Amino acid sequence: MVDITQIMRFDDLASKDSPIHNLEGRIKLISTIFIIVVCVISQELFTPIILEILLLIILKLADLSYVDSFKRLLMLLPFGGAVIIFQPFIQPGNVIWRYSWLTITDGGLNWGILLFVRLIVCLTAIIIYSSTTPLQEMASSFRKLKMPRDLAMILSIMVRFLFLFVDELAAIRKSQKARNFSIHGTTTPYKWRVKQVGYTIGMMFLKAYEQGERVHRSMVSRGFSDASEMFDEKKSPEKSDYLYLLTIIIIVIVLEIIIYKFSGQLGYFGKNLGIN
Amino acid sequence: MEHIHLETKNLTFTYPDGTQALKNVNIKIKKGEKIAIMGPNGAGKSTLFSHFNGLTEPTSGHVEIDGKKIIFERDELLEVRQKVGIVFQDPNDQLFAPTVKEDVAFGPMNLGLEYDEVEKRIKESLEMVGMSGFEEKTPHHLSGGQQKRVAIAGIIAMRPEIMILDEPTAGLDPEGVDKVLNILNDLNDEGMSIVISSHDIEMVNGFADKIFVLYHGEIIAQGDKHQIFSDKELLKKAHLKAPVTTEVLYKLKEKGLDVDTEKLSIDEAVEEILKATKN
Repeated sequence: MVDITQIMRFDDLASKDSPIHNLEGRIKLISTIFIIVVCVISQELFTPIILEILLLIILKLADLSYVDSFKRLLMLLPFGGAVIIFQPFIQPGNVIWRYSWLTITDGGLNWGILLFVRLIVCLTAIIIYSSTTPLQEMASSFRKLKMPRDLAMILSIMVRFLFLFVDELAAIRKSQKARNFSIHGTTTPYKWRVKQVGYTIGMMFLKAYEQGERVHRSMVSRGFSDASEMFDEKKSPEKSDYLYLLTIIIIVIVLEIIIYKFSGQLGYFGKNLGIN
Repeated sequence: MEHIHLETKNLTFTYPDGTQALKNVNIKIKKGEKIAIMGPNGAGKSTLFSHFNGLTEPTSGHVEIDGKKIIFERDELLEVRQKVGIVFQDPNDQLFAPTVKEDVAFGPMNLGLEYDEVEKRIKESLEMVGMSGFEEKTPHHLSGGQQKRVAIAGIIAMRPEIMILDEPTAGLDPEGVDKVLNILNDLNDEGMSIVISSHDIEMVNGFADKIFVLYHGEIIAQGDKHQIFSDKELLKKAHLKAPVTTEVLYKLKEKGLDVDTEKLSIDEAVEEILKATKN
């Protein structure tokens, strides 16, 4: 079972030391978004596949475990995968397989494959970003990239209190455990156990609400108002940060040139698999 | 005439449900004083504190800062909140930013200060509380004592004239308590008035110049520590206990030794006992 306290572990992972971890937060965010955008607009398999290889190299540079990253990928896959799996059956094209009313078309299959490859690349990019950037750095990167102030504030506060929330929940669960409570226990009626879990959730809501009130008071006490600005460290990206981003951009440009000039020679990988 | 820094006049506060939290509270705090407000749980200490910088509007009566009544308007309040800084009991209520640095920056930013000035104040206040080098740390990963000191730094950075601390030593280990008290004494040496609330008799004994006893929303006694701690009836009424030195001297007096029960510090008490036993 994936425990909520696992979030903490992800953040520890994100605070390691590697060339990728040490990149400036904004650069990592921009390059992640750039890779995702390029990958989503490409109609051939060639670009996404090369980008995936690039991401796997970055993964190695970031000293992340392939196995753990793959597990996380599998965990995230169903969200987009559910949409993709229907594509071969619902898109128009030449029928290549038929069973009673169920048909698979070549257009649909190609589209499904393209979507799947795109999804894998996007998820890999996000996994790398989230495992090399602590939550607080993500929040500050969004802020520095001119995210609306109120949203940025909410994000920052959420990041801060997520940990407190997890601690509180862990404390309640520990104290329940100390009194022999287990949701899978057999000594108590099922209904009663569910009720206790309900109380726990209710208590968390209540605590969250009250914590919010108290934090707001303490913020107001320090002069907070709707006109307040947030403090951002003026740290500009270094040469190596720009180099990283530039490398990715150059690779993408080269890929696009190859596609433009030699798409005929790449065979299936250079074929336009889009559906329009 | 002495400079009255903070004064409450017939301050009364009633919660919407009808509970009267404060009844006609009149206190005067002079510039540079170290004040302790003592009282049992639920006496109204936190409610009283939230009136000091206009977080709560009194039902009747008012608060004056430097002889000027708190007016509940935005600009006026901003000024009051710069002058009167409150450190809350639970650092988790106060430290909301993702890093120590950003949290300490919060108050100065709200004052509309320039970036360089904010940087300077962060450095200065973290140095003052002995937390330099923790700028990039997440408050969550700090110990209780460290969190407390960062919370204090967040207030110092606003350069207040009066600092209010709700139970500043609750939940800290003895070393943590000493560190916090040292910071407060340093600030006081620089002219800042300090107001704390506490049940910790021994700590208050060593720290405060003047004590107010709050009970059921009323100030039932005020005076220096000798006056307050030697009044056993009062302490009993307010659910407090006398310092160990007082207890010992009272016991000795009961046994017939001629000692002055108003001696509070350990050194004074020892002197007094030696003197009495020699006679």
